[in-house]
Amino acid sequence: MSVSADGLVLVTALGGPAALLPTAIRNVDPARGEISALDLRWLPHDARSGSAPGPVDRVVVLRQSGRRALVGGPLELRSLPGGLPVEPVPPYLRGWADVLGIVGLYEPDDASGLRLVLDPELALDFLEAPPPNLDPLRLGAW
Amino acid sequence: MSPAPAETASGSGDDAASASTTGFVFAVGGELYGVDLDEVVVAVGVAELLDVPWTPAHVLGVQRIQGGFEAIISLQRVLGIPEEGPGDAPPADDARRSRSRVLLLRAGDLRAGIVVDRIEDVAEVGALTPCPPGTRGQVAVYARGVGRWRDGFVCWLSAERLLQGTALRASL
Repeated sequence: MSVSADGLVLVTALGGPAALLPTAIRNVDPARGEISALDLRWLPHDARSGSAPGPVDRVVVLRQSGRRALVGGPLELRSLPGGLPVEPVPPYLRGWADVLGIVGLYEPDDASGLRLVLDPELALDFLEAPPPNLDPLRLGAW
Repeated sequence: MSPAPAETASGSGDDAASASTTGFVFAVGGELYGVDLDEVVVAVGVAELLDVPWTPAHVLGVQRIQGGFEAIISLQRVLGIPEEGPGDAPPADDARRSRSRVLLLRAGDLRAGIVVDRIEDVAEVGALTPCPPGTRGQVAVYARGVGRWRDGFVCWLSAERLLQGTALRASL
């Protein structure tokens, strides 16, 4: 599978693991104010084990057609000509991926670690109305 | 150490059959378990995992195996085997980690790797018998029965039950 990303893609971290929003932010120009930053607390991965939430990365809100796409920091803009090679989510995790809007996994050539690839619309659906037990700003569990 | 049948509750053991069973015998949390040979895709070392947010505690992450990404789960957590507390001495942690393996299981379209402390053997354990009374609840859910191995017992797991029962497939 290849996700078209002719322009810039935003490479960022989402609660520890990195994530990509390959299409929603295409050609976004941060200088024009299309990306604004908010300070939010993000659920760190360790929190699910019961420990208190720790410091989290800055969270960026991307505004798109009146909706907000939320991604985490730190941020990096990359040019990925030819599209983004995305590998499928293992069927074992399909339900998790569907809920969070994750459409695949991507491993950059620079050995910087694996990335989760988000569908921005699906991610927005989750972020705007997360299931009660998966509220991103609360300790949640399946 | 073999799981003592007397310690465990009324297990289902409804898959226990008279046919001989062959597969991987492995240790998790000081107990012995087994799984059919044809339910194991491959055994590999434990590599660095990609953490995945908002998954249940038994999902450890994903790991690249044989060219693809596979979910890795903690069998210890699935079965409710107590984990070492922070006060426990770290018993040769590097050595222990070096013996840890991932067994990539398959059942239908599902695949997931389980982390085991060490692989003991690939062995025939004879016919499985029903899990004895007292089998720990979660073990009974995923066990096919008990087999004899060397001078002890091995709790034989069903990869199908394990993967079907723990996969994150249902809509919330």
